[in-house]
Amino acid sequence: MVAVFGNVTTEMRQHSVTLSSIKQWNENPSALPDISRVFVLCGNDTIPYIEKVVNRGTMTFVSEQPFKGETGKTYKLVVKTPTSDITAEDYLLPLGDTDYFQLMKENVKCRVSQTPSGRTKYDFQFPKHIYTLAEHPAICGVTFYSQENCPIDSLNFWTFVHSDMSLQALFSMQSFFNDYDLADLSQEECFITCSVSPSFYTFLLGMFNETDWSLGIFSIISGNVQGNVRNGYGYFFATDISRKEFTFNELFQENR
Amino acid sequence: MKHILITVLFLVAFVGLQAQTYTLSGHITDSATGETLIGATLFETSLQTGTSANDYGFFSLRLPAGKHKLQCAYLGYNTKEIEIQLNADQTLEIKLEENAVGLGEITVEAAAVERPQQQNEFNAEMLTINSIRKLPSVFGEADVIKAVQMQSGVKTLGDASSAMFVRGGTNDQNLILIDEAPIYNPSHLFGMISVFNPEAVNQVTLYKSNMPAQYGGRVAAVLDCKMKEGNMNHHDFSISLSPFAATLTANGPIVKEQASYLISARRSFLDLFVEPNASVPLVPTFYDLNAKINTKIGQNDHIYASFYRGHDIIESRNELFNTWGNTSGTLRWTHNFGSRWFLNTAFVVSDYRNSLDFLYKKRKYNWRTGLSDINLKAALSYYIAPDCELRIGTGAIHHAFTPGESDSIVLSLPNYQAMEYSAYVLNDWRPLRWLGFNYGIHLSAFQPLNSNEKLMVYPEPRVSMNVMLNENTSLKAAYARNVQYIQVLENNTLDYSSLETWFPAVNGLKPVIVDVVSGGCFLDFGGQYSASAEIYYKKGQNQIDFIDHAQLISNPNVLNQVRSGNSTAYGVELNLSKNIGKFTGAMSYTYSRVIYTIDGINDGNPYSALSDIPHDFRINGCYQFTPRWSASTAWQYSSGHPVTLPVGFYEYMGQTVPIYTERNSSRTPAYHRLDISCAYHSPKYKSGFNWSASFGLFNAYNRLNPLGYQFETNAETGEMRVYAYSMFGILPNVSLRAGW
Repeated sequence: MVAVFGNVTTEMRQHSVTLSSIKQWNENPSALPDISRVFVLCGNDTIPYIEKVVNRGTMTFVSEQPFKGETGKTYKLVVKTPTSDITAEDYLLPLGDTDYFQLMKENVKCRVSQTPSGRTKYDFQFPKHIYTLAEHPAICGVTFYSQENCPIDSLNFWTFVHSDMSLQALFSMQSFFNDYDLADLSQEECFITCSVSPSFYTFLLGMFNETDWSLGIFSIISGNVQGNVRNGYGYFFATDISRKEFTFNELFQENR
Repeated sequence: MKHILITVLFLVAFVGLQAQTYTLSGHITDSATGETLIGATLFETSLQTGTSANDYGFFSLRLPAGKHKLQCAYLGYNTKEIEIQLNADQTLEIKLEENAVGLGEITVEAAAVERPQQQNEFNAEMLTINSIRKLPSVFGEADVIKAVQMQSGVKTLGDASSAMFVRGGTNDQNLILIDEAPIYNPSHLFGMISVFNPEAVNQVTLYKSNMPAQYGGRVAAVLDCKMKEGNMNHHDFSISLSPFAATLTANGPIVKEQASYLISARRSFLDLFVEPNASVPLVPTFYDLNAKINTKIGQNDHIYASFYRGHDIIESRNELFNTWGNTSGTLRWTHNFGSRWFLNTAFVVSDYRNSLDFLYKKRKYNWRTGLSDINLKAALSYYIAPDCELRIGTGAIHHAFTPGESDSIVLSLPNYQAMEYSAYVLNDWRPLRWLGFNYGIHLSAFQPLNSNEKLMVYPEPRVSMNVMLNENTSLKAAYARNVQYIQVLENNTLDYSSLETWFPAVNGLKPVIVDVVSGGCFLDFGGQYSASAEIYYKKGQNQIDFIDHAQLISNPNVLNQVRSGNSTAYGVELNLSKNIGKFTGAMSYTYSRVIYTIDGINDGNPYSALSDIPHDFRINGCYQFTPRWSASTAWQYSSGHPVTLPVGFYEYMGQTVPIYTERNSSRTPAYHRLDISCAYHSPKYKSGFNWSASFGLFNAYNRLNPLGYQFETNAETGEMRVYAYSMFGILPNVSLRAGW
């Protein structure tokens, strides 16, 4: 079994898929399978991928040509191995009409950043992962990054904004748990909104919960994170992306 | 059922027609304090028949006219022999003297004490506060729950929890009563200490699975605690200090031999010296107050008013406060209609609140849960014959649930109200000297209010049978159906209980129904030693558990996180105890399993419940060196409890994501722990002053029993590391008590 990370976005670029081995207790990571072919299917179209980087325990494949995904379509990843195919598919959900940037401006203090961090044993912990509140597809991830960096391959600085109702709900509980340290952000920022399909959203929630190892009254019941990869772990996701450049100080001062 | 009723009616008529029989009735009390001696026995030696005092000390014994020689006995008291000439119905107030050495050697005539093999009830364990005090104290406090946890068939998790998993049940499936008022969270200080103040407790009885028909509302066990009533003759005061709390108690007569009071207050004091900081992230505090007044009105009436209030506060360094507490009050009236009818009516209120408070940026937020009950009930006992008692009763409880309330409306769960009705009929009957029955039916009904849910009605038949093979050996068998309409949703992966959400059977949450059959063999070796072997098998329906990643707190969709299915529990319990002499002790071994099968959890495959701890061996003993000095020890060895641990990991977007196989497929290492203590009890001086001191070691050989595991990713290598966390290592304790 391998873990799969990959995506198709609505931005014109070479898209990538990374396969990584599974780590086990006191054992060497499992070997990656021999891979004969990697491609993405969309309707009758086949988008071939080529091997780019092979490190110990990971292999990265990129699309032969730059391409961009289209909203409303389903993208299926296929990884051919000698024994079985590793497959995963996701629906590319459009962002919809919600102006998340405006929402963010109006609620600049109510961001709900969710990155697991160390907790002290037996200490009370804030309930960080209350995403079960939002069950609607109109969910977006928003991240603050400088433009040079790839925005969506790491969750370390993601902030999640949910549908209106959930945002309101989360505002009451969560905004106060994570007051973004605005001073640490650079002046030039890019506001990126990514659509998240319901099943990817569920995967993210599960992952946040499962990677928060602390004990405490907010501990959750452990279980596997349900991805969309057949014969593997992880999630291959399709996302609609929009970008908006702004200076963070401007955004911050408006709401001061 | 029809046959049973006909039999009972026939028996009533038959007994009524008998000539030359009269009723001896009265109360059995402590001669010094007037305290009721619950369960004290009265035995007619030549006829080899007898009875025992009920929860109010009342007894009624039907005997032929003539001269009788009676023995009245109670553990820890000198047996009293009484001769009477019975020519008419007669009342007799019996006062027993406590054994001169108090906690020392018990010199009860073994034959005069009703022993387990003679009781028609099955799976009932009676513990007096004196017997609890003989066990090693866990944190310097004699603790009812810790003593109950030493009984076979009762499991717990961790070092110091107040949680009890009785014969495969969950913690919320125990009905915990203080003077008939339910206690919804029996823990102080994360469970290190229970809500039962030893200075205020008279006696507790634990019923495991096979509850008599008068009990309802829970499916696993009943822990019925009776508070002391207060000294009817003179004023007593005491002060006690343990590492965690100080207790002040006063009791005495309001009107001598007519009315008495008891008041006992307990408070922890850690918060007076420590504030939350990096090394002590949590500072717990608690207090509780027990108060009781009881008064006799004439010969036949008695009124009791009991009050309990407990409150816990846990303050965290990150500006969180968790508070919880039970408040209960009971007003009871008992009345004897002649010598054979006994009526008990009670009005009970109980309130449980749990609150998590956040103070952030000068704004306050919280999450509140709770449950309030108002209960009116009545029970009537009719002593048909020496070995035949008929009890009927009825009751109604109004429940008001606060499953989860927040300052944000969208986060709050709707409040619920419900009525729970019950009625029962019970016959405790020994038709032959070697054959006894305790059978009855508990009819329960549950009606959620303000909802479209229909009235739920369940008959709960209960029967137990006792076959005495000889004077010292009996075989017992029992069947019971128990139904529970309210359940708690809590994060039970922890060993302490807090932030529970009590839910009624609404919105798809169905009542839990458990059928249990059990059997056993009880042996008694002249009162000196006793042994038993018991087996049980339980089948449960609508047992709940949580889906993977379930989030229970601040989640208005919490019921979506729950699935229900079947539970199966079975086990064998072997017990051997030495009951009297300088050395007393007990040893038990339990093999038991608890398996759940719930659609939507573990792919619908069977899996171990949290309390699936197959092997459990316990031994405890107390040696009374002199009337003043005693030493106690207790050792426990049990299988580890099930946990869900990852078998591997993968990287995803910078996160190390765990991979699991099945729920609860791993186990913590075996649990074992040794506690020791020794105690000194001073004589009672002429002034009435007396004192005692005890010294103990909790976890004497410093075994670090894992409570849970924490994982951490090495930022440089990406390797996962696992740490086992334990609650306590070796912990010495000293406690002092002075009374006058």
